[in-house]
Amino acid sequence: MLFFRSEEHLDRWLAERSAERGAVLSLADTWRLAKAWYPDRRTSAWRPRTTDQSQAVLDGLGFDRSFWSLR
Amino acid sequence: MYTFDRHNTIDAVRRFIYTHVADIGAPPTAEAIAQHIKLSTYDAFETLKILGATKRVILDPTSGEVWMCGPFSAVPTRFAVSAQGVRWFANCAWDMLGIPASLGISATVDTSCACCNEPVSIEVDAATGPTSNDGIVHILLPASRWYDDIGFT
Repeated sequence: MLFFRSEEHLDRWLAERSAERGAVLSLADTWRLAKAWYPDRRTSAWRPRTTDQSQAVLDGLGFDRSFWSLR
Repeated sequence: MYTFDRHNTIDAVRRFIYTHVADIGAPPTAEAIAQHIKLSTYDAFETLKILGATKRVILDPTSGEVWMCGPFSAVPTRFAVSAQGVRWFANCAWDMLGIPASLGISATVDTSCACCNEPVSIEVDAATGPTSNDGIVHILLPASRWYDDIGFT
């Protein structure tokens, strides 16, 4: 999960590796994902999510299951 | 053979790991965990194994110490996050925003473009997130394959 300055830089990086494009997120969407995915784990109330709960987080952000399915 | 109350100890160790990394910038060693929780070093490593088996943390396969405790990395990466006099390393471009999101703080992210290695600094506001939308995050593997090789992911 890497950062690129632009789509052009990503395309160049993929071409150099003959790699296929995965999912691309803007920084704004990455922030939405980070906020939803990472609660404060210092508290005793924190519990690990089940796979279904994690999937619900991704679904709740509107991410396409063709890429964002955990199973 | 465990020599401690497993449930309470596991939770105490997990909280200590995350409090330590938030305060200091790095997760504690098994020895530091043992001293803080009052365990033997052996039991500290056994507890880490349990936390690792349930993906609460990811362990270094060689040392058995904490390697990743999402979104934090125990080792330097190209995703450095700074705030309040502390510097953390994130595991990936997702996690570089996961650190300020998790801690609820404003921070500066220092990373670089994976293509050209040009350094990039991103200011993150605790309430609203990155103050600019310049740059993108690419996730190579579909979600179903993330844990096949978490280091690569």
